[in-house]
Formats: sequence, structure tokens, C-alpha cells
Amino acid sequence: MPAPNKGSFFEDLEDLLEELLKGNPEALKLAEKLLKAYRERGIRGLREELRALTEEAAKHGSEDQED
Amino acid sequence: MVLKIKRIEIEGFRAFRSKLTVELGERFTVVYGPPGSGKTSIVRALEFALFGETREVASRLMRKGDLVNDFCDKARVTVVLAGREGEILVERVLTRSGASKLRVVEGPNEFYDEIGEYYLHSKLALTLDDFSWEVAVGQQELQALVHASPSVRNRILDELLGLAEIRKLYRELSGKELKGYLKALRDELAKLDAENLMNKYEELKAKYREVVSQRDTAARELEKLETRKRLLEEERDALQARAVEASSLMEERGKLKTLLQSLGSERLAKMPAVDESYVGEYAEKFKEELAEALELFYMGEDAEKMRRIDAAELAKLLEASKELLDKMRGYIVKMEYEVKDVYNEIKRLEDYVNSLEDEIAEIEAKIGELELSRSEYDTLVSRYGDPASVAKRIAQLEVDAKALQTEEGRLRCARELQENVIRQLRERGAATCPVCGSKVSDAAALPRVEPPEALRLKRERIEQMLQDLKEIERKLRRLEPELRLLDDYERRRESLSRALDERLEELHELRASAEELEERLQEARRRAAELTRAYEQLDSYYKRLRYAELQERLRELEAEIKRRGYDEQKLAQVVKELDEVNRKISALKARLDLLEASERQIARDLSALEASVKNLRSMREKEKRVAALYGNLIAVRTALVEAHVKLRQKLVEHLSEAASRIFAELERSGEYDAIEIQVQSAGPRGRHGHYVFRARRKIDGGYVPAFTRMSDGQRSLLALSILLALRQLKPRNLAVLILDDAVPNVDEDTKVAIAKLLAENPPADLQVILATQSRRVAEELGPTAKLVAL
Repeated sequence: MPAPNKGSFFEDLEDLLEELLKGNPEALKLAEKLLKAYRERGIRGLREELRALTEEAAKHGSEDQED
Repeated sequence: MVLKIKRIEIEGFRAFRSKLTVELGERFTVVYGPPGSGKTSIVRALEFALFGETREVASRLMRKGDLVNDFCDKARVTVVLAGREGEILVERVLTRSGASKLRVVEGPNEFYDEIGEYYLHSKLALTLDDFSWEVAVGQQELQALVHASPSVRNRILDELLGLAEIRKLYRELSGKELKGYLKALRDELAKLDAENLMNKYEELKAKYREVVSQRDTAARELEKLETRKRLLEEERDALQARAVEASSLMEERGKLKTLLQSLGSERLAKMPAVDESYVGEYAEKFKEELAEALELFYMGEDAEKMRRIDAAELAKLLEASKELLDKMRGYIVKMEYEVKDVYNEIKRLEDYVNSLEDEIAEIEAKIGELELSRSEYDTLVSRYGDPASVAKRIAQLEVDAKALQTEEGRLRCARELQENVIRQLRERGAATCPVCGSKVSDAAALPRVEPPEALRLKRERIEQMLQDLKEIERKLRRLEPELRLLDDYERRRESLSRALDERLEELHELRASAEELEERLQEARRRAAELTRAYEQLDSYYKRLRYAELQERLRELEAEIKRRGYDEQKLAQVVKELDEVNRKISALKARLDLLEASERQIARDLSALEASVKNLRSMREKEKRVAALYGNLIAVRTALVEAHVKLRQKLVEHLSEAASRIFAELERSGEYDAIEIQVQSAGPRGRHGHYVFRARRKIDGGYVPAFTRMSDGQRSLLALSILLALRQLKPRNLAVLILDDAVPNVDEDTKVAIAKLLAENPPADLQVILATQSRRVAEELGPTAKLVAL
């Protein structure tokens, strides 16, 4: 079940992460995605998101890499 | 939306068989009753209504159906929640089988079961676990906090502070799987031997470009040669068309050339010319000499045939001569065989003669030996007679010897008798003759008996003679076979000597014949050699004449062909060049085929390699992306850990302050006047920190470890202070705090103090429900609070 009353906690966490990851925008973007998945769909959602990101990274090289 | 509990109706649930309605005060309610009166059942009924189960059912300590009273078929719990926007009625019915139904009513809206659950949860934003720790706190929760190990206490507090979420998050984001995947990718990349693959790929590409370039060059060259070939073919065709016109002349010329070739034109061209009349005379002479030779060899018919040939017809003459010369050579060979046969016969006879001579010599040696025996025989015969006479004499002598022996015996006996008589006379004076018995008185009267010695000597002489004769007879008998053998040898020698003479005569004749044949053979060979030389000379003359003749005709033909405009040299040159061009085209086509095959092969290899290179690049990109993702994930995880620490630090500061204030109010002994909660880092995993609880001693203001120094009651108060402080820090939609006899191990004053504190200054404006069995608490708080007595 979602936990709607945890909004402020996550907002605090997001703020902290934004501050901690301000030098690494890609990691921050990843953190936001993962946090969003966790907030919306819990641990399962987090895992699914992580799996999707791994699959995305593990897909074959794009055409512009051709010689 | 802030909600409080207005009313609870319980029927058939746990201890409540009949319906119980509990109206709750808006701020503070004391539920008083002795042990077993149902205080805790009211809390469980509330749990059941709001969450569909109680903490015991969730912990599997009992089955859901056991919540139904033993005397009822079903249980029904109705809770009315009141908020600023109105009331929410929650009704849950449970059968003994464990099936339950939910009904949620808010104003005109009614929700059932699953939707009702969702709706209710969205309003409460609570789990049963949250409810147990933050809303309805009992002894169990407080004791868990008091008696827990530091690590468990850490987890409980993290949970209560909401920090467990972050812990879950960063534990989930350990990146182990991603790291494993990254390692697998890198291992795979290492296996691909990227550098070698790329070098090979570049080398192959360069080779492909080189082959394509060579192929293009070869193709251009081939095109040029094809053009040249067409031109040459046109020129050749034109020349050959003219050659057709002069074909008969050329054919004749070809035949002439072949003929000249067969005559040995190169050799004949170097020889001087010869006079035809001289050759005619030479041929005539040769013919006559050959005929003579044939006659000599007893080939008269062939000689006649030769004489009939016209010497002017040289070819015919040469042909016939060749045949007869061959025949002559055959005759010579035959003669050679004959001579060889004669010599073989001579050899055979010589061998025979030698063997005869050897045999005669051997016989003569034996005759020489036997003739000594004949001489000895002849001497014996001349002296003693032949063996028969000797035998006769031997017989006579044997008779004589016998007679002498008898006479000698008789005399010897007579003499013995006489001697006996004489001896008797001498002894007795008288004696009686033992033969006739007459009386003898005088020895002189006795007849004279001759002594036997003379007879013995005679007999011995005769016996000696007899022995000698017998020896001679034996010798003669022994020599007789030798004499017979000698006769045989002599006869054999005679016969062999005759044969030898005959063979020697025969040998002489054969030797004479061989000499004659030898002479004839030498003559034949000499003649044949002379004639062969003459034939070869004549043949050479003939060929030279013929060569001159043919050369003349060839020159005429060449002149005629040239006159008709056919340039053979040009055609030969064109044909030669055409052959050369065709050869080059063939070679070039073969090279082109090879280059094209090579190009195709390299293209295939390149294509295969490109797939590998593509795969390699893809893998590298993939590895880069996965590594980036892993790096970012680790960065996020690290940030989460740091956020966890910071948030905890921040929350703990507030918690410490609020809990200390509450604890100071509740602590009645006066031993401690404040508490402090800190987060300390320690150990290898200490960066996450752990909670440290300290209490300030009133007497000296010093801080001591709270949970190890305090009494049970003080520790319960400490735990209660923390939970109450947490409620202040973490507002919930359900603004209710139920203390179900949570602190039993304190004195009555403290219990009253706790109740008063909660009644007068409830944390975060909470609706407080205090379930207690303390009569004093009920009595002291009764006037100011809603009292529910069970």
C-alpha cells in the first residue's frame, strides 16, 4: 500500500540528495528516478526501475557507432 | 485530515459477547477496569476494525476466527471516526471461519471490502505496525524498547523515525547485481582480445583495398589487350583471306618443305652441288659391283634382277639396293652362325679327343703294372710248368710222403720191439718175440732192423718240395685273373686308339672347313661394307640432286606467292603477336579471377570480422553505460547513506529535546532530570551510527548510560518519553494515543503523573485514551476526563 503521509519525509530526502549530488547531475537524475519509483510502487517498483535502467544500459550499441 | 475516535461498538468480539458501546472523550478518556475486564480487547477491536486483523493475528499467535466470542457466530466492530470534514463509519464483520466484510461510510459514500480497505488506508495512512508502535502502545512495545539489544533498538528507532525507508533504499541499491554484470561484461571483453581483433580488422581492410586496386588495374589492362586482340584478329583475317587465294601454291610449298625436311635440308644445304653425269656413272658401277657380290654370295637371281634395273632411275636403284644389301647382311649373319656352329663342333671334338687320350693314358698305366705279373707267371710256368702239371706233381709227392711216413712208423715199431727183446735177453737171458711168439736166446740171431732216420730225412725233403710246389701253385692261381684283366685292358686300348685316330681325322677336316668359312665370311663382310659405303654415297648424291631440284621448285613457288600479294612473314608476325596477346589475356583473366576470388574471400572475412568488431564496440558501449550506471548508483547509494545519517542526526536532536522534556515531567524520584539521545559512530560499519541514550544525574549534573543505570520503572518512563516525543515529531492522520496499561511497573504516583501529563498537556494535541486498572488514576482523573468503567 502506498504511504501518502510520507510526503514530507521524501521531500526532505530529495532535498538532501539534491544537495549531496549537486556535483553529479546524472547520479541526481538517477536518484530522482529511483526515489520516484520507490514512492509510487515500493521496493518492487524500485527493483523494476533498476532492472529497466540496467536493461537500457545493456542494450546493443546505437547505429552512430558504426564505422 | 486529522481523525479522532468518537465511538466504538463491539459485539461478539473476544470477551464481549453482548454489544458494548464505548463513547470516547474528544481529548482524554480513562478506561478503567480490573484485569480481564476487556480493556485490551477494546484496543484489539479497534485494530480489527481499522486493519482487519490484530497484532496477535498478524504475528500468527492466533487465528482470525478465534477473535469471535465463543458463544457467538460472528463478531461485529463499528468505529466512528470524527474529523473536521465529518464522520467516517467503519464497520467490520468477522465470521468464525475467518471471513470478514468491511463497510466504510463517509457522508453519502459507502465503500465495501477491497475498495473500502483502500479508502480507509488512504484516510489513516497507517499500517498495523505503525498503529502498534505509535497509536496504541502497550506494555509489549515499551518493554521491547527497554529490553532490546542496542542493534534492535537502533532498528526500532530508525523504523519509528521513518529512517528505515532510507536504509531499505540504500540496501536495495547495493549494486551487487550490476557489479556482477559489469564484471561479466569486462571478462567477456577481455576474452574478445580487442586489440588483436582491431589490428586484424584494420589489416584486413588494408588488404581488401589493395586487392580491389589490383583488380581494377588488371581489369583496365585486360580491356586494352582485348582491343589490341580485335585489331590483330582483323589484320590476321585479311592476311589469311589472301592466303586462301594462294592456297594451292602454299599447299605445294608446304609439301615441298616437308619433303625437304625429310631429306635433311639443313645438312644438305651445307654440302656442295654434284654433277648428274658423274652420279650416273657412279650408279652404273655400284650396280655392277653389287651384282658381282650377289653372285659371290650365291644369290644369282638377285644379281640378275639388279642388272636389269636402269641405273638412271636412282630412286628405284637405291630402293632395290637397300633391299639386297639387307639380304646380303642377312646372309653374312647366317654365315656367322655357321662358323660359330663349326667352331662349337671343333670344341666338342677337341674335348672328346682329350678325354680319349686321358683314358688311353690311364689304361696304359694299368697295363704297365699288369705286365710285371705276366712276366712273373711266364717265369714260373717255364720253371714248374703250368698250374695243372704242378698240381699233378703235388698229388704224386703227397702219395710218396704218405708211403714214407708209413714205412718210417713200421721201422720205428720193429726197432722198439727188437730193443724190448734185447732188453729181456739181457735181463732174463731169454725172450719171447711179441710178434710171432717164438723164443729168442741170442740177440745176434735177431734180424737187422734199419734205423728210421734215413726215411725221416727223405720224407722231410719230400714234404719241403710239396710245400714249395703248393706255394707256386697258389701264386700261379693268383696271377691268372690279372692276366685276364691285362688282356681286357689291351683290347680296350686298341679300341680307344682306333676311335682317337678317327676323331683326330674328323677334327682336322672340321678345322679346315672352319678356316674356309672364316675366309668367306671376311670376304663377305668386306664386300658388304664396301657396298654399304657405296650405297650411302649414292644415296647422298641422290639426295643432293633431289634437294637442288626441290629448292629450285620452292623458289619458284615463293616467287609466285609473293607475286600474288601474300605476305607470310607479316601473317606469322601477326599470329605470333595474337598468340602473345591471347596468352596475356588468359593469364590476366586467371589473375583477375584470383583477385576477384580473393576479394570475395576477404569481403566475407571482413564481414565476419565486422560482426565481431560491431559486437566489440557494442560491448564497449554497453560496458561504458553499465559502468556509468553502476557509478551513478554507487553515488546515489553513498548519498542515501549520508542523507540517512544527516536526517537521523536532525531527527534525533528534536527527539532528544522532546523526550527529555517529557521524561523530566514523569520522573518522580528526582534522581535524573534530563535525558540525551545521540547518534554515535563506531566500529567498521559505524558510519551509519547507532543511538546512545544517556540520563543526567540531578545530583551532580553528570550523564550516565541510561538503559544500564536506570531502574526498570525509570527505563519504562524513558521508553514512554521517547514514544510520546516521537508522536510529537511525527504527526499522524489518526491523532490518537492509546496507552494500554503501558507502564505497570511504576508506583501509583507516577501512574497518576503520567495520566495527568497526558490529560493536561497531551503531545501534539492528541486524543488520549488511557486504559488502566489503577483505581487511583481513575478516581483522580475521573472528574476531568471521560471515564469508561468496565
